[in-house]
Amino acid sequence: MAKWPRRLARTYLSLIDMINKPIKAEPGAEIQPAFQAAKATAMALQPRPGANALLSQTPYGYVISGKPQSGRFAHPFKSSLQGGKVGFVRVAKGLVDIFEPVIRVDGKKVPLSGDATHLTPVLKLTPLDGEARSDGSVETWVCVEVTPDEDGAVSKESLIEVVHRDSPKSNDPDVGRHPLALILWAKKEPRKLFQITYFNLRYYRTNPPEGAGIPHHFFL
Amino acid sequence: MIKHVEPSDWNRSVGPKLVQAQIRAGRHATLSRSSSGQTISLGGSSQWRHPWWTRLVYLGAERRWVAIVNPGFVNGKVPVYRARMTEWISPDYGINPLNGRRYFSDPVFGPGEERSTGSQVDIPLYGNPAIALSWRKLGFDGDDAVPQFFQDRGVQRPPNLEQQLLSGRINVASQMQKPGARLLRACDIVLHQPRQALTSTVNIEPGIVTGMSNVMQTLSLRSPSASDALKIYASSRFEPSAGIQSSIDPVARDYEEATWDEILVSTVYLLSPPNMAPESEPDARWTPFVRHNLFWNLAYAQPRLQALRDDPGTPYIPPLAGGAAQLVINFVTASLNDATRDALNILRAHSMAGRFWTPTGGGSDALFPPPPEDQRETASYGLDKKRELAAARAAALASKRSLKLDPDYPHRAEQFDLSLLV
Repeated sequence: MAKWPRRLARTYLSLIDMINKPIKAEPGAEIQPAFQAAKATAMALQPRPGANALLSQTPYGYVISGKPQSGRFAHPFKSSLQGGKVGFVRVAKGLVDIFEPVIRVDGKKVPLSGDATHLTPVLKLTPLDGEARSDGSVETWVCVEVTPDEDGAVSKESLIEVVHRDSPKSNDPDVGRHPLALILWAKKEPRKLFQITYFNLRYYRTNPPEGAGIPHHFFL
Repeated sequence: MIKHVEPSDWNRSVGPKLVQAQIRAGRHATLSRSSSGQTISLGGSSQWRHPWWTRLVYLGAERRWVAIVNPGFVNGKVPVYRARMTEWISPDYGINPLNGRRYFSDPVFGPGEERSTGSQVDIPLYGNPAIALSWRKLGFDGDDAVPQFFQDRGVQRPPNLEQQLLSGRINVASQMQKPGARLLRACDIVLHQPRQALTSTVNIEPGIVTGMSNVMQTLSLRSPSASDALKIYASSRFEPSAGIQSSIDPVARDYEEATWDEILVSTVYLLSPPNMAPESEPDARWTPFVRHNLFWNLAYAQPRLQALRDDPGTPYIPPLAGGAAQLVINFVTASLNDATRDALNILRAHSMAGRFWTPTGGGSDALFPPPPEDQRETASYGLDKKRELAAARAAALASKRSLKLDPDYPHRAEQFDLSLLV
């Protein structure tokens, strides 16, 4: 162990000496230079709370407590990839306008927040062709699809469904599609999920001008 | 009082206890020491980072700074970073979690003959590519546009010699670098979105008898290059497109829009240590800062190419090969100036420039409520002018010091352009 400088040792022991014999300074008395050095040493040793840390001082010492930052961010449509090689996605509740999308579970439409028989509905993933990258990985998307009513608006009768697709853009001119999350596949196994949507959505459709064209579907 | 301590006594008794009393940083904790104490911070590294969050990393082996951008999405697609082989082969990008091997360790990425120089590879943003940066100089040895944030931290603005010459008073002190001044470098990270662009051709047939000219303006769409892609890149100076300028003359020659839209992702800064010599190159001692412009994923759309409902002329849209549209507009005019003005107005009305926006669920309104500090009231000392003045000075200084480069959560969202609904 390295030897401590004599000056520091002397200062520290002076500090201990002073703690054992508390100094009461009289008005007009000269403050000893050693006390100043000891004060500096004590200050340098004093712990202070920084970010996310709570410091408590007790007669037996300091207690440091912290609330760990989980980095989690609860938001609408928060998606998580689960199930390992089989792969399914759980999507937190979110709204399109004022309506909650559904997930098909065994052919039955279940709201994202679940119902009496399916408390936590999940979207089962099956390998799709998707968009291939140069390293062999494939991208697919978890999307919300909206089939508006005749007026082009979302209503109680509209079909709003969370689906797994090979493209974030719909080829059906009557269906609006918005990506919620991207899933990265390797060797036909879902490996990673990237969240795309963080907010509830509003849907709006514009019809083509007279003549040709297809409707445009906007998610705002 | 103890007057003398032998080192051996110290090492045996008090010294070890002092070492034991030292605080050490554990997992997820950081410790900083100063003369006023030891500061413990916890859990700073696992905070949630928004899309497009940018950080700067110094590559010690290559002695250069690079930027890494959190994946962001446009219409659900992830941008790529287009890197040159010589640029990306040497850095170590770590282990690919998908296959457990090092990134770009496959033979296909090897330095073959055709890939050895100059060829490019597209790396998606979720692969955390190291984006090469090119710096512009700000401050004493560069441009005047120094943000207040950096002026408060010691960056000196450049001397304005021209203005001093004009005024006839040359301040020699202002031409010198102040003691403790810092230098500043900046670089812009840009998102590039390919799109269809508007092209225009104008034919003028002079009417000899009537004095009126018949003008035929043909608008059509041009597709972007097949090799173009949604990508991200670094530029020493990003200048957003100003749209169709009034200075162009669509009658004089054919006009073509750019086949892309671009938006600033973030600006990265490097702040030098004090007293660096002007024109110094950034190294590991410089401090990185980032000012973000994008915080959330984006949607993108282009307007429709549609016919004018009013005058001038009667447009019709014959189809073109490849599904593109072509719009022909006829109008008559008495002078060349009128023809230029009308053709320019038609160009502006039909521009195919796209719009980015953030789907926030707020409909066309993507504005978040103001941060709480804007609603804070200042203390008032009534008739005590001295204290009031001192408080105002302290508040002004505090606001300067606490000035941040980025707005607090929920940051800022790109507004939806209602013209897309027309």
